[in-house]
Amino acid sequence: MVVRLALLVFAVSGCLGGPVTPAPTCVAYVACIQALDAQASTTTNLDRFVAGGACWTNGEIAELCATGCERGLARLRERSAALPEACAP
Amino acid sequence: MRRLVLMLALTMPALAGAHTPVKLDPKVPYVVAAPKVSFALYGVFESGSEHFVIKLSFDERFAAPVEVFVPHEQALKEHRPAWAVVGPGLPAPNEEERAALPAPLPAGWGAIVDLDTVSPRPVFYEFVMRRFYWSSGAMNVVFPKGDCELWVFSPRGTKGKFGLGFGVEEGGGYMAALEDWSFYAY
Repeated sequence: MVVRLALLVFAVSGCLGGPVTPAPTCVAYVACIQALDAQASTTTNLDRFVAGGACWTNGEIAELCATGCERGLARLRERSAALPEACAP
Repeated sequence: MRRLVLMLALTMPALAGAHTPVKLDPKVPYVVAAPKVSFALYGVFESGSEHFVIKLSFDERFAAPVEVFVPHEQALKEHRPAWAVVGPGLPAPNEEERAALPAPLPAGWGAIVDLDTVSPRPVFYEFVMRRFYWSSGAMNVVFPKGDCELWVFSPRGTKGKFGLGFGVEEGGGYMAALEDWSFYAY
Protein backbone atom coordinates (compact mmCIF):
# COMPACT_ATOMS: atom_id res chain seq x y z
CA MET A 1 0.00 0.00 0.00
CA VAL A 2 2.76 2.43 1.02
CA VAL A 3 4.78 1.57 -2.06
CA ARG A 4 1.77 2.14 -4.32
CA LEU A 5 1.15 5.48 -2.61
CA ALA A 6 4.80 6.44 -3.06
CA LEU A 7 4.68 5.54 -6.75
CA LEU A 8 1.47 7.51 -7.17
CA VAL A 9 2.93 10.57 -5.46
CA PHE A 10 6.10 10.28 -7.51
CA ALA A 11 4.14 9.95 -10.74
CA VAL A 12 1.94 12.94 -9.95
CA SER A 13 4.93 15.02 -8.84
CA GLY A 14 6.75 14.06 -11.98
CA CYS A 15 3.85 15.27 -14.09
CA LEU A 16 3.71 18.53 -12.20
CA GLY A 17 7.47 18.85 -12.26
CA GLY A 18 8.06 18.24 -15.96
CA PRO A 19 9.08 20.81 -18.55
CA VAL A 20 6.45 23.42 -19.35
CA THR A 21 5.89 25.81 -22.24
CA PRO A 22 7.21 29.36 -21.78
CA ALA A 23 4.54 31.71 -20.43
CA PRO A 24 3.24 34.33 -22.89
CA THR A 25 4.27 37.02 -20.41
CA CYS A 26 7.89 35.87 -20.68
CA VAL A 27 7.77 35.65 -24.48
CA ALA A 28 6.66 39.31 -24.43
CA TYR A 29 9.23 40.25 -21.77
CA VAL A 30 12.11 38.71 -23.72
CA ALA A 31 11.00 40.46 -26.94
CA CYS A 32 10.86 43.78 -25.12
CA ILE A 33 14.27 43.47 -23.46
CA GLN A 34 15.84 42.36 -26.73
CA ALA A 35 14.33 45.38 -28.50
CA LEU A 36 15.65 47.68 -25.75
CA ASP A 37 19.06 46.03 -26.08
CA ALA A 38 19.02 46.64 -29.83
CA GLN A 39 18.24 50.33 -29.24
CA ALA A 40 21.01 50.73 -26.69
CA SER A 41 23.55 48.41 -28.33
CA THR A 42 23.63 46.26 -25.21
CA THR A 43 23.10 42.56 -24.55
CA THR A 44 21.16 41.09 -21.64
CA ASN A 45 21.42 37.50 -20.47
CA LEU A 46 17.84 36.21 -20.78
CA ASP A 47 18.69 32.50 -21.00
CA ARG A 48 16.38 31.38 -18.21
CA PHE A 49 13.28 32.91 -19.83
CA VAL A 50 13.55 31.49 -23.34
CA ALA A 51 12.26 28.06 -24.41
CA GLY A 52 14.35 25.36 -22.77
CA GLY A 53 15.53 27.80 -20.07
CA ALA A 54 15.58 27.14 -16.33
CA CYS A 55 12.19 28.82 -15.88
CA TRP A 56 10.40 26.01 -17.66
CA THR A 57 11.70 22.96 -15.80
CA ASN A 58 8.63 22.64 -13.57
CA GLY A 59 5.36 24.34 -12.72
CA GLU A 60 6.54 26.02 -9.53
CA ILE A 61 9.46 27.84 -11.15
CA ALA A 62 7.38 28.58 -14.24
CA GLU A 63 4.85 30.41 -12.08
CA LEU A 64 7.60 32.46 -10.44
CA CYS A 65 9.02 33.43 -13.84
CA ALA A 66 5.62 34.17 -15.40
CA THR A 67 4.80 36.57 -12.55
CA GLY A 68 8.26 38.11 -12.71
CA CYS A 69 7.92 38.72 -16.45
CA GLU A 70 4.43 40.17 -16.11
CA ARG A 71 5.42 42.62 -13.37
CA GLY A 72 8.77 43.43 -14.95
CA LEU A 73 7.10 44.29 -18.24
CA ALA A 74 4.36 46.30 -16.51
CA ARG A 75 6.96 48.35 -14.71
CA LEU A 76 8.85 49.08 -17.93
CA ARG A 77 5.62 50.27 -19.54
CA GLU A 78 4.79 52.49 -16.56
CA ARG A 79 8.20 54.09 -16.23
CA SER A 80 9.63 54.35 -19.73
CA ALA A 81 8.38 57.05 -22.07
CA ALA A 82 9.63 55.83 -25.43
CA LEU A 83 9.59 52.05 -25.55
CA PRO A 84 10.08 50.11 -28.77
CA GLU A 85 7.02 48.63 -30.41
CA ALA A 86 7.96 45.16 -29.12
CA CYS A 87 7.17 46.38 -25.60
CA ALA A 88 3.63 47.53 -26.39
CA PRO A 89 0.70 45.70 -24.74
CA MET B 1 12.86 0.48 2.78
CA ARG B 2 9.28 1.44 1.96
CA ARG B 3 9.65 4.52 4.13
CA LEU B 4 12.80 5.47 2.24
CA VAL B 5 11.00 5.14 -1.08
CA LEU B 6 8.19 7.33 0.19
CA MET B 7 10.59 9.94 1.55
CA LEU B 8 12.50 10.10 -1.73
CA ALA B 9 9.29 10.28 -3.71
CA LEU B 10 8.10 13.20 -1.62
CA THR B 11 11.39 15.04 -1.52
CA MET B 12 13.09 14.76 -4.90
CA PRO B 13 10.58 16.71 -7.02
CA ALA B 14 10.44 19.42 -4.35
CA LEU B 15 14.17 20.05 -4.38
CA ALA B 16 14.03 20.88 -8.08
CA GLY B 17 12.60 24.29 -7.21
CA ALA B 18 14.81 25.22 -4.28
CA HIS B 19 16.91 28.32 -3.67
CA THR B 20 20.16 28.12 -1.68
CA PRO B 21 19.30 29.49 1.82
CA VAL B 22 21.49 32.01 3.68
CA LYS B 23 20.93 33.90 6.97
CA LEU B 24 21.39 37.70 6.83
CA ASP B 25 22.86 40.03 9.46
CA PRO B 26 21.77 43.69 9.15
CA LYS B 27 25.14 44.86 10.50
CA VAL B 28 27.19 43.08 7.84
CA PRO B 29 26.54 43.44 4.09
CA TYR B 30 26.24 40.02 2.51
CA VAL B 31 28.32 39.44 -0.62
CA VAL B 32 26.77 37.00 -3.08
CA ALA B 33 29.61 34.95 -4.50
CA ALA B 34 27.67 33.46 -7.42
CA PRO B 35 24.90 35.92 -8.32
CA LYS B 36 23.72 33.97 -11.37
CA VAL B 37 22.58 31.10 -9.15
CA SER B 38 19.26 31.36 -7.32
CA PHE B 39 19.37 32.08 -3.60
CA ALA B 40 17.04 32.78 -0.68
CA LEU B 41 18.37 35.14 1.98
CA TYR B 42 16.58 35.06 5.31
CA GLY B 43 16.58 37.74 7.99
CA VAL B 44 14.59 39.21 10.86
CA PHE B 45 13.51 42.80 11.40
CA GLU B 46 13.98 43.02 15.16
CA SER B 47 13.36 46.78 15.40
CA GLY B 48 11.83 47.49 12.00
CA SER B 49 14.48 50.07 11.20
CA GLU B 50 17.14 47.66 9.91
CA HIS B 51 18.55 48.00 6.43
CA PHE B 52 19.84 44.73 4.96
CA VAL B 53 22.44 45.11 2.21
CA ILE B 54 23.34 42.41 -0.30
CA LYS B 55 26.20 43.08 -2.69
CA LEU B 56 26.31 41.58 -6.17
CA SER B 57 28.59 41.87 -9.18
CA PHE B 58 27.66 40.71 -12.67
CA ASP B 59 29.93 40.17 -15.66
CA GLU B 60 27.06 41.02 -18.03
CA ARG B 61 23.56 42.50 -17.92
CA PHE B 62 21.47 39.79 -16.28
CA ALA B 63 17.68 39.47 -16.00
CA ALA B 64 16.18 37.59 -13.05
CA PRO B 65 13.09 37.62 -10.81
CA VAL B 66 13.25 39.07 -7.30
CA GLU B 67 10.67 38.78 -4.50
CA VAL B 68 10.41 39.24 -0.75
CA PHE B 69 8.39 36.73 1.25
CA VAL B 70 7.12 36.52 4.82
CA PRO B 71 5.80 33.57 6.86
CA HIS B 72 2.06 33.24 6.37
CA GLU B 73 1.15 33.95 9.99
CA GLN B 74 -1.62 36.18 11.25
CA ALA B 75 0.86 38.15 13.37
CA LEU B 76 2.75 39.12 10.20
CA LYS B 77 -0.29 40.16 8.21
CA GLU B 78 0.86 43.79 8.06
CA HIS B 79 4.58 42.97 7.77
CA ARG B 80 5.45 43.82 4.16
CA PRO B 81 9.19 44.40 3.69
CA ALA B 82 10.30 46.16 0.52
CA TRP B 83 13.32 45.62 -1.72
CA ALA B 84 15.39 47.78 -4.04
CA VAL B 85 18.13 47.09 -6.54
CA VAL B 86 20.46 50.08 -6.41
CA GLY B 87 23.47 50.81 -8.52
CA PRO B 88 25.06 52.99 -11.15
CA GLY B 89 23.17 53.37 -14.41
CA LEU B 90 19.79 52.28 -13.04
CA PRO B 91 16.75 54.54 -13.56
CA ALA B 92 15.82 57.16 -10.98
CA PRO B 93 13.11 56.02 -8.53
CA ASN B 94 9.90 58.03 -8.29
CA GLU B 95 9.33 60.35 -5.32
CA GLU B 96 7.39 57.81 -3.24
CA GLU B 97 10.11 55.20 -3.72
CA ARG B 98 12.93 57.66 -3.03
CA ALA B 99 11.23 58.76 0.20
CA ALA B 100 10.84 55.14 1.32
CA LEU B 101 14.47 54.15 0.74
CA PRO B 102 16.37 53.57 4.00
CA ALA B 103 19.42 55.53 2.84
CA PRO B 104 20.20 58.23 0.27
CA LEU B 105 21.30 56.96 -3.11
CA PRO B 106 24.99 57.52 -3.84
CA ALA B 107 25.67 60.08 -6.59
CA GLY B 108 25.04 58.61 -10.03
CA TRP B 109 23.10 55.65 -8.68
CA GLY B 110 19.50 54.79 -9.51
CA ALA B 111 17.10 52.23 -8.09
CA ILE B 112 14.44 49.73 -9.05
CA VAL B 113 12.15 49.55 -6.03
CA ASP B 114 9.26 47.28 -5.07
CA LEU B 115 7.38 48.59 -2.04
CA ASP B 116 5.35 45.36 -1.75
CA THR B 117 1.93 46.84 -2.40
CA VAL B 118 0.35 44.17 -4.63
CA SER B 119 -3.25 43.51 -3.64
CA PRO B 120 -4.53 40.95 -2.92
CA ARG B 121 -1.26 39.87 -1.38
CA PRO B 122 0.11 36.82 -3.22
CA VAL B 123 0.62 33.57 -1.28
CA PHE B 124 2.76 30.61 -2.29
CA TYR B 125 3.70 27.20 -0.91
CA GLU B 126 7.42 26.54 -0.54
CA PHE B 127 8.13 22.87 -1.18
CA VAL B 128 11.39 22.42 0.75
CA MET B 129 10.27 24.11 3.97
CA ARG B 130 6.73 22.92 3.37
CA ARG B 131 5.34 26.24 4.54
CA PHE B 132 3.09 28.95 3.12
CA TYR B 133 4.47 32.45 2.60
CA TRP B 134 3.12 35.82 1.65
CA SER B 135 5.02 37.25 -1.31
CA SER B 136 5.60 40.72 -2.68
CA GLY B 137 5.01 39.10 -6.07
CA ALA B 138 8.07 38.32 -8.17
CA MET B 139 9.30 41.07 -10.48
CA ASN B 140 12.01 40.72 -13.12
CA VAL B 141 14.93 43.11 -12.93
CA VAL B 142 17.72 43.62 -15.46
CA PHE B 143 20.79 43.84 -13.24
CA PRO B 144 23.50 46.08 -14.67
CA LYS B 145 26.94 44.83 -15.63
CA GLY B 146 29.29 45.49 -12.72
CA ASP B 147 28.54 46.14 -9.06
CA CYS B 148 25.11 46.78 -7.56
CA GLU B 149 23.29 46.17 -4.28
CA LEU B 150 20.00 44.72 -3.15
CA TRP B 151 18.48 46.48 -0.15
CA VAL B 152 15.72 45.02 2.01
CA PHE B 153 13.94 47.33 4.41
CA SER B 154 10.67 47.71 6.27
CA PRO B 155 8.99 50.91 5.00
CA ARG B 156 6.27 50.81 7.66
CA GLY B 157 8.65 49.86 10.46
CA THR B 158 7.06 46.46 11.00
CA LYS B 159 9.00 43.64 12.65
CA GLY B 160 9.38 39.97 11.83
CA LYS B 161 11.00 37.39 9.61
CA PHE B 162 11.42 37.70 5.87
CA GLY B 163 13.15 36.02 2.97
CA LEU B 164 14.52 37.51 -0.22
CA GLY B 165 14.25 35.20 -3.19
CA PHE B 166 16.40 35.77 -6.24
CA GLY B 167 17.00 34.02 -9.54
CA VAL B 168 16.06 30.73 -11.12
CA GLU B 169 19.08 28.51 -11.83
CA GLU B 170 19.75 25.89 -9.18
CA GLY B 171 22.64 26.33 -6.77
CA GLY B 172 22.17 22.99 -5.03
CA GLY B 173 22.76 24.36 -1.52
CA TYR B 174 19.23 23.83 -0.23
CA MET B 175 20.36 21.22 2.33
CA ALA B 176 21.86 24.13 4.33
CA ALA B 177 18.33 24.72 5.60
CA LEU B 178 18.64 21.56 7.68
CA GLU B 179 21.34 23.23 9.81
CA ASP B 180 18.80 25.64 11.30
CA TRP B 181 15.44 24.27 10.32
CA SER B 182 13.40 26.19 12.91
CA PHE B 183 14.79 29.49 11.61
CA TYR B 184 14.27 28.81 7.92
CA ALA B 185 11.00 26.95 8.23
CA TYR B 186 9.49 29.34 10.89
